[in-house]
Amino acid sequence: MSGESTRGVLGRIAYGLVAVVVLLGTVSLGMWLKTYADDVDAAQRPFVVEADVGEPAHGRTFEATALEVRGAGIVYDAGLDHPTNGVWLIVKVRVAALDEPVNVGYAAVRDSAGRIYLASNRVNQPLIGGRTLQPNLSVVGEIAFEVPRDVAGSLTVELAEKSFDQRMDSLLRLRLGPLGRDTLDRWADDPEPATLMATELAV
Amino acid sequence: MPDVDRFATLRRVSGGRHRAPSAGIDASQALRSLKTIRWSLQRVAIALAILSAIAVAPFGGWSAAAHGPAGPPPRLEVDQVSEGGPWKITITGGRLLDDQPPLRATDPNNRWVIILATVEVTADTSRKDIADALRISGAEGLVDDDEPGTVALVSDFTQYPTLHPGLPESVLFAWEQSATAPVPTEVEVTIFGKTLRPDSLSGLRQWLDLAPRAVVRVPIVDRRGL
Repeated sequence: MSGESTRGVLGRIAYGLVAVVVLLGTVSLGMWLKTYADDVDAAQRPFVVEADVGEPAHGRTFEATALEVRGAGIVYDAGLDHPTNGVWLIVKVRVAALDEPVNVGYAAVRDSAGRIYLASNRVNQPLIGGRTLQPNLSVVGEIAFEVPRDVAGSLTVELAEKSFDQRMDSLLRLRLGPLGRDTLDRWADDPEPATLMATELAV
Repeated sequence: MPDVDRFATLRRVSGGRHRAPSAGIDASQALRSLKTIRWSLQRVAIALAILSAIAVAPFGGWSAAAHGPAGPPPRLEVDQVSEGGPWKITITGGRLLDDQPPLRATDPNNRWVIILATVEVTADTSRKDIADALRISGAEGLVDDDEPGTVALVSDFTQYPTLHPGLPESVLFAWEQSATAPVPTEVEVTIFGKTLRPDSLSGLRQWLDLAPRAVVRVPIVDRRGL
């Protein structure tokens, strides 16, 4: 066998080995990507910004601060009493758009077990969906949620711009202070109906 | 092979166009005739479809596709809980009402078939799709055959309420019925559930696949004129 033909055979072997390595590498990369992409919920999770009561949380399009939380067994709205089988949580927040007018379309309470309670549609919620926030004009208002009395652990209020889909966008998570079962029971058993405050500019 | 020749072959196998099939089948001849068929993509697809239709027989046939893998949904009694996701439901009764506020029929002479139920969300997140949960049959002249015309909380008549995890609510499902239809004395209520699974397109876990979960025969109490 001449030297030239030997080099040709070795070249073909090397070419084949490289092809196998590239093939295995591609398959391995694909398997890793598939493993990563299998948990789409985790891969596309929102960008969470957390803050305690009294501290502002800065999102992509708006900022929000939890000011205080109160509770009730009945909320009075539009001429009707709205009793609950659990307890009403009424959270006072201050919100402001950052650069452009924006609506807060999503509001929910999350408990420590991961259960999510959307803002109630039983009463008028002037701050959610209907109110357009203007840049640097803070607005103060209340949001009402219904939760069971045995709601798990510490609670947070979640706010986001889009009502249905919070993926891949900022989600403000405002930590409420510790709420014991005694407090929730006291609020739930209060026969006096609560009324949500009128939304107002924070001047 | 020209078409004329192939038809001739097939006619030999079947014993002629107008002759009844013979009791005995010559397997080797049938196999030879298969070889004579020109297998286009379309014919392969048809053959596969026929084979698939036959192959489902050992697995419960088409009833499995119609009723799900567990067969027809179980029958429950009134006040019996239907457990499952994303809600558990207890049918508590049925009513027949005249049109009256806050109900609003398309024709004020029409009446309402009402199903009362206790609904508790078992999912981790509040639900807005409770109107999917019940369907009725056995009442003629419904204005909407499928979805109820109104779904509301009994306590304050909030329509299409958002229901929350762990908070059971008494809910009414109302179907408008034509005034000329026979008065129903009972209806059959089908309770539907959904399955939490990754969406085929987005991969996100969602409650999908609305499917019947239980059937309840509910007496309708006529409360018109009260």
